[in-house]
Amino acid sequence: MAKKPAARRTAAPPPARPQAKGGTMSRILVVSLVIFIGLMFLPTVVFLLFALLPTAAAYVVDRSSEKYEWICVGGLNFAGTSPFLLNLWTGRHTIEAAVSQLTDVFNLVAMYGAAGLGWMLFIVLPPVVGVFMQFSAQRRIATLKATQIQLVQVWGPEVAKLKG
Amino acid sequence: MAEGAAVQAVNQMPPAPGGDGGVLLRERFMVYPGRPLPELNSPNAMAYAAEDRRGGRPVFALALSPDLPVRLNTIQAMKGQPFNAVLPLVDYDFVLWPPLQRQIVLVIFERPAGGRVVSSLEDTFTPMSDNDYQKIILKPLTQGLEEMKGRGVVHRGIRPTNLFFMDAERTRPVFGECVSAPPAYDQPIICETIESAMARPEGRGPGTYADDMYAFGVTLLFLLIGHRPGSAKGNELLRAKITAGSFAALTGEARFSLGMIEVLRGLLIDTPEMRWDLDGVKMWLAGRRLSPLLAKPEKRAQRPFRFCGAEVVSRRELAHMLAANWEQAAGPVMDGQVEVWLRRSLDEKALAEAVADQVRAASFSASGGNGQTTDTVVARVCMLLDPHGPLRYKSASFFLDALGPMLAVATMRQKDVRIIAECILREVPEGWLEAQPAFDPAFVQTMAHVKTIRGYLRQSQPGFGVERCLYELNESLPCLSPLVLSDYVLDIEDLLPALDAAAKRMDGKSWPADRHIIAFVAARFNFDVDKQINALNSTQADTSALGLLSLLAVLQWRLGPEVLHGLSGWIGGLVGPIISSYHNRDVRRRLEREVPKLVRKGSLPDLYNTLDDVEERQKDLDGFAWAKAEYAGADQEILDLENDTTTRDAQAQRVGQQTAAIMSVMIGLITICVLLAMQLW
Repeated sequence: MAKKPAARRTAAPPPARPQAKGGTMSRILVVSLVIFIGLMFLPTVVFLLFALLPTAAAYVVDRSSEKYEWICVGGLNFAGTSPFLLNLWTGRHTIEAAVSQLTDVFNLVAMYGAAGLGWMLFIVLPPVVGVFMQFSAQRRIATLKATQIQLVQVWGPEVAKLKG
Repeated sequence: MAEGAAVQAVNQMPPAPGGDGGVLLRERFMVYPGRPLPELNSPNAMAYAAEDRRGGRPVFALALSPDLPVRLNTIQAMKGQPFNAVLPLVDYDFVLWPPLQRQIVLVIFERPAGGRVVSSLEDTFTPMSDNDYQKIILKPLTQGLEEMKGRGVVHRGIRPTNLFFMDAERTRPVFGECVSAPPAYDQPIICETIESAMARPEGRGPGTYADDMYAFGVTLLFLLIGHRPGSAKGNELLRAKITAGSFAALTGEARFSLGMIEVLRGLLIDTPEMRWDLDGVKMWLAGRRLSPLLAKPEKRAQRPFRFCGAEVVSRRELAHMLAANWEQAAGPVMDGQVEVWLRRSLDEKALAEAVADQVRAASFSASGGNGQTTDTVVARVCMLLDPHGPLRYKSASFFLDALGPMLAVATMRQKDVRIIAECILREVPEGWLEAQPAFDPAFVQTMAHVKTIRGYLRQSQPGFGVERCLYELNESLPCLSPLVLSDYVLDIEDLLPALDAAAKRMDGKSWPADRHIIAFVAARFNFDVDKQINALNSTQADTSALGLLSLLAVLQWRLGPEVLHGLSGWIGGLVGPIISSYHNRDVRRRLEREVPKLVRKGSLPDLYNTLDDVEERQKDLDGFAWAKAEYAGADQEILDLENDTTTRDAQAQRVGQQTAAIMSVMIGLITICVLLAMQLW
C-alpha cells in the first residue's frame, strides 16, 4: 500500500516571507530615527513627556473602541501646554529650562487645568446632546401625531386600521 | 259557473259601486263599472255594460281577473277579426279600474243579443230536430272553428255554457271568449280529453286543435240530447271515460239520431291521431259518410287492482288513482304490488320490469344516495303507467308546456309553489320525456328549457328562483311586485314609469326593487344585466346599492324615459352607502352636495356616473392606500421614538463624545495658531 502524501506535506516548512526582513529593518530605522530626534530635541521631549501626562492617562483609562476621551483631553492639554512649549523653543532650549517650566506651579496648573477642562467637556457634552435629541424626538412625535390626525380627518378613522 | 275546475275558480272582483262614472278605453269605448252584466260573465271575468262612442254595434266589456295570467297573444290574434261564429273581440286595453283601484285588462266584445245558449250544464231543454240542429248549431259552429284555425287560434274554452246567440232570434250561435284565463282553465272535466282532464286546470297547457275538436264533440252532444251527457260527474266521469272510453261514457243511454253517431264518435274518440279534424267534420257535413271509427279500448286486467277502496282495471286508471291518492301510493308501489299486478294480471312484463327498476333505484338511493325518493319513484311509475298523461308529482299534475301557467296561477293566488319547484329540481320532467313512447324532436328543446329553468331555481338570490322562472315562462304575465302591481307592468318599458309613480306613495327608505322586479328585468330586458344583479345581491350595502342604481340607470339609459323625478328622488335617498364607500371625506361632502342637484335633474345614468366615476374611485383608492401607509409609517416611527430610548442614549453618548473631541482638537489648533501668530508679530 502506498504511503499517504499528506504526511509529507504537513511536515514541509512554511514558505519564507520576503517582506518580513524588510519590515523589521524599517522598524529599526524608525526607532533609530525617533531616538536620534529625541536625543536632538531632548528638552522638548522631556517637557512634553511630563506636560502631556493627563493625555497619556486618558488614553490608558479609555476602554471604548472609538478612543474619543484621550483626543478630547489631549486637544485641550496640548492647547494648555503650547505657550510654555513656545517659550522653551524661543528661549533657552535646555533640560534645565524644560525642568524649570515644569516645576512652575502656575505652568502646571495651566497645563493640567486645560486637560481637566477637556475631561469636563468629555463628561458634560454627551448628556447635553442626549437632552437635545430627546427634545427633538418629542417634537417629531408631535408632528407625526398631527399628521395622523390630519389623515383621519381626510380619510376617516378606517385609515388607522391595519387591515381592510 | 260550470262544474269541475271552473267551479273552483272564484272571481274575487267585488261588484262595482253604483253610479255611471264610466272608464274610457282608447278614446272610443265607454265602460261602466257600475252596470255589471252578470249574464255575460265568464268564470273568471266580470262583464260590464259598455258603449261604442262612434256608434256601431252594441258592445260589452269583460274585466279580466288581475290574479290570473291572460292570453295576450290570443287577444292580439283575435282583435278586430271579422268573426261570424266566434264572439268578435273588438278591442282591449290596460286601464285603471275604479272598483279595484288598479290597472286591469278590459276586453271589448260585441254584445250577443240572444244571450247565452245555456247558462249551466245542468240545464235541460227540448232537443232540436236533426235539420234544425245541423242548420242552426253544427254548420255555424264548424265555420267558427274554421275561422279560428285560419287565425291560428286554439280556443280551449269550447263548452256548452260558453256559446252565445248573436241575434235576438237565437239563430246565430258563436263561441264565447277564451282569453280571460289560461288555456282550458275554465273547462269542466266533461269537455276535456282524458289526458287534459287528469291535469290541474292551470296545468292543461295550450293544447291543440284536436283538444278543441273533442270539446266541440261534447258540446254538440249536449246540444243534441238537450241535457248533460253521461251519468257521472267529476272524478267518477273521468274514471268512466278511462274505463269505457269517452264516447261510451258520455253517450251512455242517451238517445239521438243514428246519423249523428258517426260525427260524435269521430270527435270523441280518445286517440288524438284518430280524432276527426275540421276537414273530417266538413266532409261529413258535405254528405260524405265514413265507416264509424272504433276506439281501441284500454287493455283491461284479468283481476282488478284494489287501491283505496276502488278496483282498478287498467294501467291509465291506476296511474290516475295513484296520483289522486299520493300519500297512499308509495305503499303498493314500493312493496312491489304494482309490479306483480302488471306482470300477472295485465301481462305487461316489460312495464313491470321498468317499474321494478324504479323501485330498485330508490332502494339503492336509500343506501347510496342517487337523488331518487319515494315521491319521484311514484311519479316515474305514474309516467310509465300512463305516458300520455300529465306529469304528476304530489298534488301537482300538469303538462310541461303548462309549467308557466302553473307557476303563475300558484303565485298570483298565493298558493304553494314549492311542489312545482321540487318537481323540477328532482328532474321529474326528464322522467316524463323519457317515458314518452315516441320521440319528438321538440323534446330536445323542451329538455334544454327545463334545464335552464332548473338552473334558475337552484339559485335563490334575487334575479333567480321561482320569480325568474315565472317571467321566463309567462310572456304575458305582468310584473307581480307589490310596488307596481296596480300599474299592470307587462312590458319592460313600462317598469320605470311605474316605479316613478310608486315613489310618491312608497316609504323613501324602502328598496325600489324586490325579487319580482329584479327577476322581471332579468327575464324581459334584452341586455346583459348579470353584473348589475350580482352587485345588487352583494351582502355589502354599498355594492348592493350601486348594483340597484346601476340596474335602474341602465334601464333608463336603454329604454327611457329621459326624466324620472320620483324614482331619482327615491334612489337619491338610498345612495348613502355608495357615498360612504368613498374614503375621502372631501369627496363625500362634494357628492352629498351634488346628489340633490342630480335628483332634481331626474337622470339615473347621470346619478350613477357621478357616484361611480371610475377615475374618481381609483384616485380615492390610491389615495386611501397612500394614507394608510402614511399613517402606519407614522405609527411605527412614533413607536420607535417612544420606545427606543436605549439606542437614542447610546447615540447621544457617541455624538456627544465626538462633538467634545472635535471641539477639543479645534480649541487646541486655534490656540497654537494664535500663539504662533503672536510670536511672529
